[in-house]
Amino acid sequence: MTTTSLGGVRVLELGGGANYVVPYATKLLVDLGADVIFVEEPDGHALRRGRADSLIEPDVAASIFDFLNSGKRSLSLNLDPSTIGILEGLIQRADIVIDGLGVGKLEGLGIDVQALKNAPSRTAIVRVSDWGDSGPYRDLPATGLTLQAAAGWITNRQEPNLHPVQVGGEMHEWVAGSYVAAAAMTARTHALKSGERTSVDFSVFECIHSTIPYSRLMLDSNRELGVGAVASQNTPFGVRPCEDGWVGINILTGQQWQDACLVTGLVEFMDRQQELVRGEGEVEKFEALLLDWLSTRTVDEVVELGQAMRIPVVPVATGATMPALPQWQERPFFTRADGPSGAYLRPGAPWRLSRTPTSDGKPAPTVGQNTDDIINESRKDEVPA
Amino acid sequence: MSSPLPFEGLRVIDLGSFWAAPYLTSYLGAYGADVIKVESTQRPDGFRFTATDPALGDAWYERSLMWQATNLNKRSLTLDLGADEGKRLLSELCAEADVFVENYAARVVEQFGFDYESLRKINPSMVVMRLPGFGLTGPWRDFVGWGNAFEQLAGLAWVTGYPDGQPKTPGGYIDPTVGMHAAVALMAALEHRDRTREGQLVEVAQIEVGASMSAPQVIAESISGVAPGRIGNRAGAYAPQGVYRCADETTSLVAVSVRHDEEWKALLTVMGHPEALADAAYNTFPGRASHHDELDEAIQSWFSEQSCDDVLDALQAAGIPAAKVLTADGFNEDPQLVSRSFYQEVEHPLSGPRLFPRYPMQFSFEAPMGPHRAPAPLLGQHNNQVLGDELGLTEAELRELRDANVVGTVPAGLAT
Repeated sequence: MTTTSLGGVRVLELGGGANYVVPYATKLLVDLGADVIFVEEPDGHALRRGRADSLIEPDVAASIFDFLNSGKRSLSLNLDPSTIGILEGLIQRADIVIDGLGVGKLEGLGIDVQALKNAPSRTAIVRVSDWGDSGPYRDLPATGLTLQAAAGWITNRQEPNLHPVQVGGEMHEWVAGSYVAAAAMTARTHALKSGERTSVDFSVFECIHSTIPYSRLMLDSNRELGVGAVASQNTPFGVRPCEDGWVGINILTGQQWQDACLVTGLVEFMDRQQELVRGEGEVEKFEALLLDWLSTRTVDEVVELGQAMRIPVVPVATGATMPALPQWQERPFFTRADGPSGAYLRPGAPWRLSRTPTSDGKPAPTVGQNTDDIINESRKDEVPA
Repeated sequence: MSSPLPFEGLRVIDLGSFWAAPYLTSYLGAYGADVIKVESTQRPDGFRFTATDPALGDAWYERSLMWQATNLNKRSLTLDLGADEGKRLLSELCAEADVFVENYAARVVEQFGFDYESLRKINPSMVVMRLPGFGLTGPWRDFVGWGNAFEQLAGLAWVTGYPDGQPKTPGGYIDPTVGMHAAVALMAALEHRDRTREGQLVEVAQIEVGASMSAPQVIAESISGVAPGRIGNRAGAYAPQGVYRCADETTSLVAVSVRHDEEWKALLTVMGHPEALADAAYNTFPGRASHHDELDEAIQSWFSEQSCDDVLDALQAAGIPAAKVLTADGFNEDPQLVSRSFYQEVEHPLSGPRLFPRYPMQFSFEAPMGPHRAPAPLLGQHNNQVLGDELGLTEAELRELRDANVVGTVPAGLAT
């Protein structure tokens, strides 16, 4: 049997709603071998039916659910005052609890969280909410768009005339899922070291904001230098169309700028990077010449030319083209899985551990598939030694 | 007695540069680890030179606030890994370390002789974290890239932007996210190490973190043959949803989502039931979704005459999800961030007191002033402490290292 890093670690997942934050956090722990039990109402986890904010096809929704919940166990439970005892028992038995029910929900059910906090247990409890468990926004309703707006993710994405736009693909939820998993493991590490129950107040809004506060620090530096409030208004290379698709030309250093100008025949702009980044000078001429050069070349040709010059040039990939890229053809990552709607392709784990590899993916459980086993395990634990 | 920090007693050797790996190690340092950041005067962390300029003052390579934000809670050591003595000293540090972290392109640390097999021979209990952009294997292992490129390659740019416009790059948010994915794997590997004394190699390829977050795109295409595309500011099952400009003189935008018919009615009440939105077809989702452009136009027209704060208050009072679009100017004053002390003041010896972000989680053991324990170190600030006090080098030996430029405190080329 393969050894996993978190074999024997018991994780309890509560709530989370129809988004990916909490299921992705616990998926990461399953990948490392944890035994994750998620509690769902008898009519099934909200995500089984898709997302409240999306018209995603049922087959696709079921497969995304399968991807996120492979290897977990399902306990079906009506969350009401009559089941408090079971829920409290599950919390007491868990090494990690990830509570995505929302601010005040456990208390509303009659669970005395404070009393549980004081129990002699080493449980790590992460309480996940949109805004955090305090502050003036605490009880505001939120959607992906409003959370991104409040946190600073909605921008013109360095295209001066673009109406500010959100980040797609629910990226913020995947980002938050990884932070939740890190918070859970940190709290667990503390609980093991100190012998104390450790709790975490996790804010998805703050998590989104955590990825961008540098723009303020850059602004402060620019003001001190007297170069104006905004560092860059324009992306002179960036994402552009080629003959057969889109390419990303990502300039970071002055050397890369000069090399990119050389490769694309834009020699006259070699010493005009800052001017163009500020959106000044012959921006339109630069753009027209660049598009003209790219229009007769394929994505593969431009990537090869750029990378040969050590310029960060990559294809702008899609859900269709990613699995076919040479890197992932030679370095297996995407795998085929059997889901409730048939076979589908999914990404592998986001890490490779040499001694404790990722757990093999089992299908996601049906609603309540493991209820009896889990209840019996709880009863056994209650029998005095 | 206060509770111990979770990573107290953990020794981390940090060869990270720029953002992803240094973000991970700064986090470990905040929560108790002893992080030794290893640079060289020949090749300092390139992030030191981002958003800074000689005009900021002496030692300007210490003054990048972005670099500082990513390197709080660490000690700094310089070692020229091109010199035999530099390699020997790093090996000596690794022999006593718990964790080794790096995020260069795959070939870089290997060229200096610090591939995993060599590190394992030095210290089989050490967890070696490698965070290459494209992976340690494969035809693209030596490709160059950074956050924006990884987001483009991993399908995240494809779904960002407007349906009729260019794919837009999210903006490098993948960097700290890679750091946190790595934190999860590292803590699991340390649990294994604590049980077995067995270290291991943990590879976190940055494009694979990105691809993991693009799962729905890959899954949808494999089932339906259609890869999801760009939807601007909309959401399939909410209508209307958008970002609207208010009348304020400075640019002010408000994001609004209408999730169901009741919220639509509430929005109409807030807006005073404008004639342009009176069509009964709009009372249900299908009618609103199929006329979204017209709704946007009417809503924008009304917003154009409202002050941002007033409209936000009214929408929130009506229970409609709405938020002002936050811009960099407002980060330090945002009511929610201020209320929860998201920014922590840390005093740097050259830059003075500055506000740095903490993490989006508040632990029950956390100190009231926030998690950060120390400002970013100056280049080579702890050379004598680490090499002299801890590895036992004499003053004469340290002088020799300085004279041979194996250690130093000023980047090569800037020394006078």
